[in-house]
Amino acid sequence: MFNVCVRMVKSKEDAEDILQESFVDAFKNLNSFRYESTFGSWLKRIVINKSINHLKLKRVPLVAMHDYENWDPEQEEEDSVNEEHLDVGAIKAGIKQLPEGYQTIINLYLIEGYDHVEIGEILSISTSTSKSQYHRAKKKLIALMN
Amino acid sequence: MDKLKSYTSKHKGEFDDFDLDEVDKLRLWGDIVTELPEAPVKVIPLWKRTGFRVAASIVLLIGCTFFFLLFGGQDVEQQIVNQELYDIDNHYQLLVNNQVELIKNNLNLSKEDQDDFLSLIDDLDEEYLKLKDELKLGINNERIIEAIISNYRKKIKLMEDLLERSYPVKTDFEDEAITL
Repeated sequence: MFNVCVRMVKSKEDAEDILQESFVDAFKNLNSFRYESTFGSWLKRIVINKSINHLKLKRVPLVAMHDYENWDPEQEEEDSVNEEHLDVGAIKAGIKQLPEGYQTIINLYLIEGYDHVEIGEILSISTSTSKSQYHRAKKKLIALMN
Repeated sequence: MDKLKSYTSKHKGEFDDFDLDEVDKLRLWGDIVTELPEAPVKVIPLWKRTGFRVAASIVLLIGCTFFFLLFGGQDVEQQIVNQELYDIDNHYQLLVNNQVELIKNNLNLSKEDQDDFLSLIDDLDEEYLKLKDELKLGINNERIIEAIISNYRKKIKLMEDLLERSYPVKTDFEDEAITL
């Protein structure tokens, strides 16, 4: 949970504060846990939401503003990456170099494992915007890795 | 097929670079715990159960019965006075009985003299009983106890005097050596 938080807010100190708030909120609102998911994924969602609120307060852009709605699913290209040539270290380094607006969506989709519908809910954007943002971020990431 | 997504899913654990050490974990948990409201103490309302009410009533009844049987409804002050009087009675009664035995066994006193004297003692006994009754009223108990003690002493003094007088007066001094 600490790693999830640090990946989102990029600061250990802020992550600790957010983690503390999240746990306290989760325990105080245990009665609102509906058993529709595991407790871990419920808690992770609280941590993610708190982190997003923190980023909003710090006015960190959550999505890249340019080319916001111009992505056409028909134009989606086949991946130009070869899985055998991928490397965790290179991906992490590439993510760090991404513009802030791309980092959040890449983290949520690639590492935290949310789908575009969930990302749409988390970031208050449409599913298609989430897809568009992700593909642009991925393209940029691959370019950075190469 | 998103090969990047597929690769990161397989290597998810390797993206966790950060770890809290034990001290930080404990501090964080401590902070979390202090912010949590304490769980309310669960109170089982036993008094709402009929069985418990009956049991409590029986215990109360037994307790009250024992209390009144043991203490007879007397207050604490009365108990102290009774204990004091009991000790005094024991002490002086022992002395008086001792003297009475001496008088009864005294060969120098006639039966008639003994009876006369003991009837006098009976008068003092009556006075003693009156004083004891007055004690129950609880008015000026200290002076009444003093009067009871005085009553006992008077009896003892009279008996001592009688015994002393009963011994024959010695008149024969011939055997005693006079040394100048």
